Amino acid sequence: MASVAFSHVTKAFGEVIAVDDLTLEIADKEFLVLVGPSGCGKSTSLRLLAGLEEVTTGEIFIGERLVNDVAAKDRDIAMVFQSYALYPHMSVFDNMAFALQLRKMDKGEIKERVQRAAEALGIDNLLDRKPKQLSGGQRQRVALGRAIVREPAVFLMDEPLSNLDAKLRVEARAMLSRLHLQLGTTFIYVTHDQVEAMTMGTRIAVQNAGVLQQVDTPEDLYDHPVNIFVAGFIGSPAMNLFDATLMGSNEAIHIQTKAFQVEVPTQVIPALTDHLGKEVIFGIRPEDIHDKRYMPVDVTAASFVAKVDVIEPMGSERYVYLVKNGKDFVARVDPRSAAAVGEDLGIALNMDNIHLFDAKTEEGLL
Amino acid sequence: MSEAAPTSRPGARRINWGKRAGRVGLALLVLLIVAVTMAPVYFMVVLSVMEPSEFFRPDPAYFPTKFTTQWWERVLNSETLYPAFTKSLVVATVTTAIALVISVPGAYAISRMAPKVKYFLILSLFFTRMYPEIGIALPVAVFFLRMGLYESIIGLVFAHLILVLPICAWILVGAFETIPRDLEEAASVDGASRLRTLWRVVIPLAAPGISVAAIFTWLLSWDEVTYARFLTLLHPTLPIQLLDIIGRSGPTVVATWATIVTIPVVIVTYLMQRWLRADYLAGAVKG
Ligand SMILES: Nc1ncnc2c1ncn2[C@@H]1O[C@H](COP(=O)(O)OP(=O)(O)OP(=O)(O)O)[C@@H](O)[C@H]1O
Ligand SMILES: [Mg+2]
Repeated sequence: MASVAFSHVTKAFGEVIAVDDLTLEIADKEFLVLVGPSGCGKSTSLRLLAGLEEVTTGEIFIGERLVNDVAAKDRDIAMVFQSYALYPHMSVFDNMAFALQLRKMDKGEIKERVQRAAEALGIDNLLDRKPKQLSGGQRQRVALGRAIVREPAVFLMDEPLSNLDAKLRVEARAMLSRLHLQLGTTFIYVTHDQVEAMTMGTRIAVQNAGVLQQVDTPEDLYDHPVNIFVAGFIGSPAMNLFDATLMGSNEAIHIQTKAFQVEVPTQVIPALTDHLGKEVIFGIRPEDIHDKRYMPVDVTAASFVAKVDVIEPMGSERYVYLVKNGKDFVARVDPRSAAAVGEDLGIALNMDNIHLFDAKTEEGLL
Repeated sequence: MSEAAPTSRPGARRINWGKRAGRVGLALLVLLIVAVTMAPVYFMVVLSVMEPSEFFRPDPAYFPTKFTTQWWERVLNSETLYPAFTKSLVVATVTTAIALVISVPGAYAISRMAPKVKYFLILSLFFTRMYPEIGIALPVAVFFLRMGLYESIIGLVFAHLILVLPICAWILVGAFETIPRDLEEAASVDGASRLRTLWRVVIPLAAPGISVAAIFTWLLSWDEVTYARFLTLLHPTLPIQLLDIIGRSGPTVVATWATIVTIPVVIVTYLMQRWLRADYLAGAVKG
């Protein structure tokens, strides 16, 4: 049980800067999810913390202790590898007991701990098997079990669910969240799957090209992305982004895109006056584009007509792909919507939830 | 080999004659290779139990019907057999043991180095073997004579180590390279030191490679003749004794000696082969 802190940590592999000046504090008992596209340095950050890589510059703390020069074996960290990395020559029991045996723990206690962890994970009937006799999902549980029995200060997980099929993954997600509550240990979880990030993390850190972009709760990250990268990365389907220009005066500002023109709500005008006449990126999430007939009443709406290109009914909701003046975008509309392919649909944007970014710096303006 | 994947859908049961013919062809080929490689062994063993009348005639029998144990009795009662046999057995076994003790940690270290350094080291292992043995055997013998190692078992072991260490290390580097690094990292996160990881994780998983290296080393030492010829005089090793016999005895006696040289090879290979399993790493990584 411990907090973790990265302070200006940089890791270079020759020319490649895998992690670039990472400063990040993770509180005790937190479930922090590290997300980002492939190759952005997530695994490297985790491996630096585990002691499997050495920092190039910067400091890493676990609790109060500076661990830069502490060997992996002495960091009191448990890690679940993406590949599981089970010891193929040992039984499930021995895989789980290995770390405890190394600590010279009493045999009876080892047995008890392994049994308890195995029961919690539903693998207590597999303890005598070898890893090759297990299914993918079972191996993944053993890998988790090996970490749990340790009762470590910090849990690290590097895409532990990526080898599972969709159904198992949903189950495993729930199991991990439950485990986190039960164990009360700090979890640091790497994934490139934003659904995993949004559903499990108490906070999410978004990384891109080695650089930390934003750390926030899932809600804040979703509602207030600090830049275009985060805006586009979090959310599925992704936020619609339009090249635009801010026109108007200090009294009324409208967003002019190739496809349409909409007016911004008055409360955000003060934040935008400096950018009048400048290029911006206008962002709006699919769920903030409504079929005009089913528009909630208490929001600032801006409406226009667009042509329906494709419809994806998803049961509880439907995605409507729209085109307007050659620019396409997606809306998540009320399932009652009568939109039909090829027809013009009256749509309304919820202007209370718009996002604007500087076109040059890509930073958020609101 | 695994079973062939079913190619036809259930219900559509067709016999794939092409595939069957391929299988039969493969079986015949395997049989042929076995026959060719086993033929000399067969003749050697048969020769050692043949009646003289079957052999000493213009067309010696390929499949004799009359057997005798007289050659075996003669060889087994020979005074020169046991000391030579024992010496060879001890030398080969001690050489193998020392070679493994030295090259297991060495090869492990090399296998974990940066690729460039690694290939440089592997190459330089083989540079030490680029001269002909016959060229340095005499200087080594002179040197050993001065050191008091001449004729001794330990001297011959040293000489054989020169021969086997590079090959042994090379096989082991290859064996260690196949072990996923993830496993070692998992062990170190689990709290294992480097040495303990080597002992508890790496060596058990490298068992097939280590046994190949052991068999190979043992065989190299067991039938080595160049150093043995220069470094032993009064107490020769088994292959040297065999060479000696070839000049002095008939084919049947030579075949008997040769069979005796071969038997331990079969036993050693058999003992080691249980470690030669293909699925050793199954289940370690990925789903
Ligand atoms: N040992 C190494 N040597 C050289 N470059 C490396 C090494 N490890 C990682 N890198 C580089 O560092 C960058 C970050 O790699 P990292 O594995 O941390 O990415 P990641 O975010 O985990 O990606 P993924 O989602 O694909 O696992 C990549 O450009 C990668 O090529
Ligand atoms: Mg990774």
